[in-house]
Amino acid sequence: MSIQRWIYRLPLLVRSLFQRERVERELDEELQYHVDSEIERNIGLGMTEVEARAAALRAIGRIDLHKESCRENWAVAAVDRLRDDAKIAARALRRDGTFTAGVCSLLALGIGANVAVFSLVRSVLLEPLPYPDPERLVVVNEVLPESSGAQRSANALHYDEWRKCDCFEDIALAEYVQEVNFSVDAVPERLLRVRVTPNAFSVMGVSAQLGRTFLPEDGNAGSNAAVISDALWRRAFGSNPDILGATITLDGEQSVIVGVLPRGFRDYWNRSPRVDVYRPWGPARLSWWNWNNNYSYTALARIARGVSPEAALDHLNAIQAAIASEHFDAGLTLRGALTPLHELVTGSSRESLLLLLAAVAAAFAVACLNIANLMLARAKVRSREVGIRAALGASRFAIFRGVLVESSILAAAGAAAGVIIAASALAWLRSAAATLPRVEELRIDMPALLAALALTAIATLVIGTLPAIRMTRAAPQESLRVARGAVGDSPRGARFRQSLVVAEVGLTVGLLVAAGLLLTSFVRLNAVDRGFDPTNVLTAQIGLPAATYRDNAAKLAFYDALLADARGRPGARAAGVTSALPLRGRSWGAEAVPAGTDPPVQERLEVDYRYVSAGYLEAIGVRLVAGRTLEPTDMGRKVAVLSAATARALWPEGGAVGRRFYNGAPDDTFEVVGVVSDAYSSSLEADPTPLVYEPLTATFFVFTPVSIAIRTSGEPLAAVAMLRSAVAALDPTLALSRIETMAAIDDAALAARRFQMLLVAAFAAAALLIASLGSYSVLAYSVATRTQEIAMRMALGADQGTIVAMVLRQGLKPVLIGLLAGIAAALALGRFLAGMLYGVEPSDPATLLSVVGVILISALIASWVPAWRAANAPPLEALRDQ
Amino acid sequence: MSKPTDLVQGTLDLLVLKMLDLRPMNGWMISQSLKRVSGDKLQVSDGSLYPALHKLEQGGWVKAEWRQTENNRRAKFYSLTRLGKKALRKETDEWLRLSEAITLVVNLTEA
Repeated sequence: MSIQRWIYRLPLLVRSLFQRERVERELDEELQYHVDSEIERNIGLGMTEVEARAAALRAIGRIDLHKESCRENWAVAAVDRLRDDAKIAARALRRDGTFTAGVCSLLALGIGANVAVFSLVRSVLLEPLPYPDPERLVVVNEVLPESSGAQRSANALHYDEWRKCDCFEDIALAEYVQEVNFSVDAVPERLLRVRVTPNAFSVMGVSAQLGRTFLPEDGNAGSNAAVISDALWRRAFGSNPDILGATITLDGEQSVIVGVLPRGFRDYWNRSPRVDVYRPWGPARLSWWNWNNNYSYTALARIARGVSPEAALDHLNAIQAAIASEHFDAGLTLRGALTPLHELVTGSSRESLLLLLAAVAAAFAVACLNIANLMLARAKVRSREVGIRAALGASRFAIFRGVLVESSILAAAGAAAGVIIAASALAWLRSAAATLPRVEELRIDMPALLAALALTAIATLVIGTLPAIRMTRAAPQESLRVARGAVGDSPRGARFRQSLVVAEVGLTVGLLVAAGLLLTSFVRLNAVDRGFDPTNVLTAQIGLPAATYRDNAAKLAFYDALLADARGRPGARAAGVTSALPLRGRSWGAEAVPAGTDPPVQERLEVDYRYVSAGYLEAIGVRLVAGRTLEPTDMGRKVAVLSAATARALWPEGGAVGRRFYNGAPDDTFEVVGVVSDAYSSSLEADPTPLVYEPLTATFFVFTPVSIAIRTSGEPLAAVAMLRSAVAALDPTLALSRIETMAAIDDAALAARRFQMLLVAAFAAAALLIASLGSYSVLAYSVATRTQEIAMRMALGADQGTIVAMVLRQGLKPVLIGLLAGIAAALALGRFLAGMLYGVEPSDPATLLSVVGVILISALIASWVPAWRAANAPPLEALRDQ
Repeated sequence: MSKPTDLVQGTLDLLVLKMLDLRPMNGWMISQSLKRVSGDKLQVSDGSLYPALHKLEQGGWVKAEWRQTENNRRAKFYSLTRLGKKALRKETDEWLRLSEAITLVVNLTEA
């Protein structure tokens, strides 16, 4: 029924909105036709033309009145009334240009920051992963309760067992992502390649945009199929549609491109920022695989439809138990863990993002409360205008509507500018928050615009409703009777405005406490002894293709030649290569056992092994604690340098140098020649991982790719060209990758924290500024309305000090209440922050005291100005002004 | 005294709908027909007809269209929509019921 009505009505509304002139003209014409027809009829009845016209006009009555009643029936009438309100509001806002500009920019910043953070939170935490049914995708990890109990990656032998479980629709296995050499137009480049089981893409639910993904037979040995990413296809092959069947040479090994992945495809499970090339992998059993070792593969499973994750985990644990009882030493057990892929991606950023969201929302609330306060003050000043309108017959509703229209204009203008601010903020976030997962997907989209709309509505209500209620309550007689500005704030109004200040200060205190705690954590973390010296160290990665560097001797010869060249160049003080740099994560974990002992597996120390050349420890700047570092003559010898944590754990009584330990075979021992300081291998927030440095020759294959570290006497990046030319001189087909200074790697380890701390601090600072302005404006306004009272007091003998004290007391009261409430709330809610803090308690007294100090000082400044002005107003003038 | 006016207003809508049910007309034609049919008993001011027409148009009961008249001028002709026909049936029924009831009441004699 009503839809049917709108079918007729909508065109009329649209017409009267956009073709107003024509609609008016037609109304004139319609009535004119009536009058003319009547005149004609009258003439036909025998009247003269003059008589006929007069009679016709008499009959129709007051045409203007009829026209007006016609217009009132138009659907556009409501729009018209709003338009009038908007016109009046716009006029009033233009008159108060500074006020309008201030409020709009405040709202724009508030809405912009909120929309940006909302988009960030949404795309990182809420947006489903771009796979079909992503909630059924889980990464399968293993847990060895008798060892550290931490989750480990998958063992390929166990993977074969898991495949038999019908709790999984299918399950894929991948090797770790590797860098390989590739060249485009004779310019060598490093690509990221991973080998996956052929079902990997069907588990993800992804098909190729061109060609195909892998077929089951690609899992057979000797398959040369390769699937490449859209980015590589565009960059290296110019989006050539005839690419299928073309050969791609990686590390000297030739493969045939069988498919190109779709443009939006992202690999979230291989823990790599990107993957350029996929190669199929049939998990043919390798001779060195072992049922309880080599936990180094990544397993992605799609849980079968209708099976809950808990049920799937129960099935998995049953399989794990069977594996342990059949293949493990007695007393050892095995369990599994299923991590939803989304959780793996989001990881630890969840808490931090929610904190950001809370912080930005609190800052926005402070801004809105403050604007409401300003609007109230303005409403008071305009009470005379409202009184006149009410006296002239405007209904309360009309006045209420007017104020709401005014605030919605402010909010809408703020929101429009806010969306622009948010768009540029997101552009900035994409680079500044690069440590966050999925941040590259950030953009202003429909939900972001809806969020902006919702914020606009909230802002309109908060900043408009309160003053509107106050304004419509004003009694017209009263506001008309008293002269402008002579009336003081009513006690109720003053109390209400002060309670807004209390809320503002409370929220600000909360924000400042959070910012202070994060800052303290950051400072403590920054001061942590890294165990190495990151200044003036250049690092880069280089990989030697197996096709050219067939054996260990060839690889060692290359490293030796490269390092010798690098060390000989001016500005280089030390140079070495390593299997893994500090702060780049853990790798090559294995056991280290003192020679001559044979403790049970669960009591053996697990350490990370680093295979290094001579000169590396000097280049990275670890401090020698005992013994010596590795020398060129150590290559080929069974010697090792321990980190202090390893030495302490193996021989708590000390004296590690000269002792021997083994990894695996008890008769294959290494001699400790030195002990060095603990270099952090992953997060600075956990204790440093125990490390063992062994010569490159200590494993049965010499590592590649390796990282080169060069300690320079000046700016390390200046040595990049030198390093490149040294590589090119030895082998022009090789490319360097991941060229970074050690300082930058160190910096990146703190980047996420710095980002979070800076944003929270910025929101807190903004809230502090706004709240100070708020308490200032409330006090200044109150002083302005009390000039006569104050003048009277001074005339009666009060001195300046008394007046200042009186005003200060008035100004500080709401601040102190807000401060107490804020501190209490911060103490109560602090535990939510605990997980994000380092080396500081949520109730850290120093932080809380600093916040109290900051609030008090800014409140004093905000109150001092009005107090001083009140005390120095010439009393005579104020009294005469009446 | 707003009630009697409302009654007249509602009745006017019914009259206009009924007129338009016969054939599409312009405002002047409606006013002429009303006067003729009711024999000048119904005093409908020419001017108040137009707000009523505009209201019916906005409500979707009638639709308007500009047409040539016999004397070659443009005039706005109104005709009933499907909604309008339905409304006319309903209003007519209600009117008949109401007037029947009122007639019964005013003719009531003490039994």
